Amino acid sequence: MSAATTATAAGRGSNFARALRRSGRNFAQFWRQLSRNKLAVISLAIVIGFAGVAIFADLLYEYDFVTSNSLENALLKPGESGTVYYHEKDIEHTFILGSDNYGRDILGRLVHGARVSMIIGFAAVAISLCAGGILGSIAGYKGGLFDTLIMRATDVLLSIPTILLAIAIVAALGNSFFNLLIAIASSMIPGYIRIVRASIIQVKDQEFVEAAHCIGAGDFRIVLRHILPNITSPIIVQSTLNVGSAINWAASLSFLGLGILPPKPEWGNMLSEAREFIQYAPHLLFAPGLTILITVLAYNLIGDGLRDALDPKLKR
Amino acid sequence: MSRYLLRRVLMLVPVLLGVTLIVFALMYVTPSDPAQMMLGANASPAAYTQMKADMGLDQPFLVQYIRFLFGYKNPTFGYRGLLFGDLGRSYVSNRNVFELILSSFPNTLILAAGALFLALAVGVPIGILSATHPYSAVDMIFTVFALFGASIPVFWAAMVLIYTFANNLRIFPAMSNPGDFLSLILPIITLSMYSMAVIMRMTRSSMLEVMQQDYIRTARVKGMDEKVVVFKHALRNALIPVVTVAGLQFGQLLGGAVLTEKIFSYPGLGTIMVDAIYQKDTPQILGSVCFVALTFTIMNLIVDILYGFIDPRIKTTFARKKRRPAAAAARSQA
Repeated sequence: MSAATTATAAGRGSNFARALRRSGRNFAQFWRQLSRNKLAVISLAIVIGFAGVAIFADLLYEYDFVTSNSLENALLKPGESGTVYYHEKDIEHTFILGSDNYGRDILGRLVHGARVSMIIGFAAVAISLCAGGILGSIAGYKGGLFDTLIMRATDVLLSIPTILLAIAIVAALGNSFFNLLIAIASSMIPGYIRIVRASIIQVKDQEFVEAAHCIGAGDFRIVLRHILPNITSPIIVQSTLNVGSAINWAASLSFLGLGILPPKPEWGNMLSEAREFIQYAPHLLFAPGLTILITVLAYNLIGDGLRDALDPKLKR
Repeated sequence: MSRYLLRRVLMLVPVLLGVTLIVFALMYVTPSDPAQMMLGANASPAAYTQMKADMGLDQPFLVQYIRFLFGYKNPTFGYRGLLFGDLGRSYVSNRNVFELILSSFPNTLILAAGALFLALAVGVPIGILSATHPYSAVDMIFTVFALFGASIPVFWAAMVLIYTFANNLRIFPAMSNPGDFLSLILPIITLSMYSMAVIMRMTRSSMLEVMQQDYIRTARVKGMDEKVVVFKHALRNALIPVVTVAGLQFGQLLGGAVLTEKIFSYPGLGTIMVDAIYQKDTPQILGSVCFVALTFTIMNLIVDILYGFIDPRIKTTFARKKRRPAAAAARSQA
């Protein structure tokens, strides 16, 4: 009996090791494909760099420092320095990217804004992926009444332009980080439902699913272990692109005053505050704008690179 | 074809009802208190209760929703209901909600049509150029260009355009209104960027796919001029998905002009909507969001129908459906 257990354990171990080696090989192959695309690699480096900045934002600039006004330093040009009264003493501070109309450090606000954008980008995609994935799987795999109900609800959500839906949700729930997140995530759910459902319908009638049925696997196991691994490519690509869109929408909504409001630093509300001053201080316009553009562009380039690397049909 | 049309139009009804339900539910959970807003802060509790009853806000959700659809009888706050094109008056301006929407919608239409025209006029030729020279320097440049167009935040693009062309070069005005053509140029450029990128990419990939087809090789082998092959054989087939995308983009442009309109202070539907949201003007928000969703859905329907007209293959599917309903049904299931 103990011998049998050991044998099974050893068998599992070797299976696991084999799977690990195989996924290692797959990853190496995938990385070779992706790294051929120089733009995608550069973008990946940018995104990782921004994520690092977002994580260590507090070490670079204290949150209280980037949210407190010091009006005597208002609208400094990039590189100028000024005396800031902070924590009950005067400190000399160089404003690397200049200061805004309240004398707050632009770079510091961008750094803390990165935290907001990154969290919203990833969290919105994670929430909508889970919700859309579950609903899409049910619709595609179960079919019938479930399919009809879920897809009609999806049609309803898709018939409201995405940005408008997000605006309406924030307007209804009120301005807050969490509500902004919910608004963006729920505008993305219908897209995921469609992708997951379409992909599942494509693979669910294939022999390996039938085989899994025959050896008595349950629906849950079939979807999770046999179908989902086969449809990851379109989902990964879509998710990467969606992170970029989520960051863009978060900035757009905050720009409209629906989302994260000043003095909390956020890239969109920085631009909104800058509106009246761009004539005297163009750095107020270009610093946050270029940051958003570079971030969103990086996610789009990674998404494109992933699409080429993951899609065997497009290999050239 | 007419049966298909009828079915599509009938399917529109539950979708639109769903849209109104969602929008109404969103406004229902909004923490704002219109009765308090109408009375001001110093109202007596009795007056407040009376006002709430007058506005119909003391009723349960379902009653309020049914009134929203079929009308509500009250001397001051009554309306004939959404189904009869009347949502009463705005809490703020006291103007009829739908009159305000209908007067601003043509302005949004001008902007969206201009943006779509620009996007097609630039996007399609560049897409063709990229597809006929795949992976060349030209293609790469326009690929990056399209990615920029798809990534740039609309409101920032608008601000940069205003900063450059209105504040510094003083060529175009920073504020825009439908009567002045010159003032429309900047918002149209802003609005068209994203659609231009999408149309460019769609034309390119669709052309690339068509150019690999057998009939293109046949045409070339026959010794046809490359121009004829590209523009007559390939383009006609490649444009089918482009038309679809353009139609869908037009719908998005109508609803998505919110940011552009707001920045250029353009008197369109988007500005009205955002202002209503700021002022918590519930009837106005409900009216404008439902209206945009309605036009968006109808636009999508028109695109679908158009698709059947421009793609002869789809038309034959309909023709076949009449003769062999079982086979066609099986195909549409698959």
